[in-house]
Amino acid sequence: MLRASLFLLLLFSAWAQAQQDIVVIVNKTNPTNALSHKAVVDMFMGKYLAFPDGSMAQTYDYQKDSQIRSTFLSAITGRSINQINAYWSRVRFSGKVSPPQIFPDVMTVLDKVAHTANAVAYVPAHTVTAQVKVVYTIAQ
Amino acid sequence: MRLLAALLFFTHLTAECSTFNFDGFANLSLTTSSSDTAKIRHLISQPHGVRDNEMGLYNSSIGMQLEWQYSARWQTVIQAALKDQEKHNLDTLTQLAFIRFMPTANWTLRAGRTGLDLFMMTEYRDIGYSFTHEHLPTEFYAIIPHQNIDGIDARYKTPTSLGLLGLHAFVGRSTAPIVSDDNFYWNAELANIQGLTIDLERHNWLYRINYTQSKSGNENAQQKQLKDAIAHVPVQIWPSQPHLQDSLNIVGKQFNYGAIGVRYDNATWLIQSELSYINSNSEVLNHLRSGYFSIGKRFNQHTLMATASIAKSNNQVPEPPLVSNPELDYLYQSIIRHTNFYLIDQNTLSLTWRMELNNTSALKVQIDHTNVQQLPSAFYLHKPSTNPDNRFNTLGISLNWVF
Repeated sequence: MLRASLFLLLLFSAWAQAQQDIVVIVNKTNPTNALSHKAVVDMFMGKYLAFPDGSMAQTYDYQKDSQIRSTFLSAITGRSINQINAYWSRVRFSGKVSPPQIFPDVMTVLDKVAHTANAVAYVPAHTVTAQVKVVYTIAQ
Repeated sequence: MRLLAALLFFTHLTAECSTFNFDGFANLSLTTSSSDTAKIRHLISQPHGVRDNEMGLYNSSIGMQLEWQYSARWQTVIQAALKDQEKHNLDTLTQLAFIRFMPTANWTLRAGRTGLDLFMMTEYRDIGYSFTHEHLPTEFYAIIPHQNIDGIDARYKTPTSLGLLGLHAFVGRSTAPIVSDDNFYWNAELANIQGLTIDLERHNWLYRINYTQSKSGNENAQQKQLKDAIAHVPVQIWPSQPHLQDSLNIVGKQFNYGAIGVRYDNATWLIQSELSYINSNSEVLNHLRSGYFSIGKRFNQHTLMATASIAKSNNQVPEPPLVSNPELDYLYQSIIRHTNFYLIDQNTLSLTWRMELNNTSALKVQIDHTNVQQLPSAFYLHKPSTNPDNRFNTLGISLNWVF
């Protein structure tokens, strides 16, 4: 009985963990199988928009005030969302880089990535479908 | 106007699956100063300043940016900003208006009006939310009124073993107003601008070096009048007359700007410093050395930062004529005022407190203590005085947000 309870607890913990994880996804035809942490930071901070093979990446993002954006960007950069927004205001208003395309929700992002060969985005791990490929995971 | 129309026409023709981003920024900035004679401003383009504990909102600004992404490779950006300026028209309102093309992940090409990549913060100096200082260090940033350039540029980025390396080359021209006492107004043109910036990002570090050269494209009415007047003075009466005559010939004179900068930001500690050297083959601005060093620490929603900045030029006061009479004395004083415009020798210590109000707005408070060895100075407007106030404190409080 005790063993069964422990097993269920571990199973629930793993499920809960998977609910919180955020993954970086690409189109399933994309030859990229994994991205380094640095490549993820460079892409989503607008520094260098390229996959490991050098091909150009198109990043997708969420509204400025969305929770997933704050969680993801803070997790990959180790900075507060205030610092990240200040950084993006420097980059955006100086005209150096085009910010990622913004979409309203996870389902739209999943659909766009599934239909765009060079797209890269991030979604909660439990929402991933067979139409996209996971190339990086952030465990919360 | 024609530039904007051409950009809009082009984007209309090529629009496909386009998305629009509409963003803005605003700074509500209150400034007051204990200075008795120098009217404090933060850029030599500004026609207003505060002194003698007056309070002014002259450093406030508001701006909007429209970005049209009609493909992953092509975008158009238009930015307009309303701020303290002598003249307001479409040209002075337009900060950015360019087409951007990214043929590969490494290359970005732009054509139109882009930001002038002169110093580390020149391109976003109007966006108060972007930086920690309440206002950019006066000694370093106030002297260059030019913020954008009409021309073309190319940016190349590549990852290297040292970090992310960026090269940015730009050519074009720029105009910006210089405003001074006695209603002096000059829409100064920098022609044939050629610049190169190299930057390297590695972990929490950013290293940056820039060299830019340009030629003065025009002169102001006061310079013309002084040249005409001094041409009638015989060399026997004023031996330095030919030299002064040449120094007032500013059209075609070369101006060179060199700057190195470094920034460290590990999310808690923030260090930033820049050094610059500006020279020309005109006596108007012979050599100007300036620099600043900032160190700050973040405490959750609060940042405290200390800054020391300094600027010093080696402009020389011209020799007076050998004969004194009212007309010559007046001419001499007029020439001194002209050649002394860039006679700069001062330093400032600043303490800044920045508080994040929410994810897109911040409140900043900054106290500056300034020691000026030379007044009048190009940095300020002035109340006429024979006994200028060489030490003063300035308080700036600003609310900055982006939307």
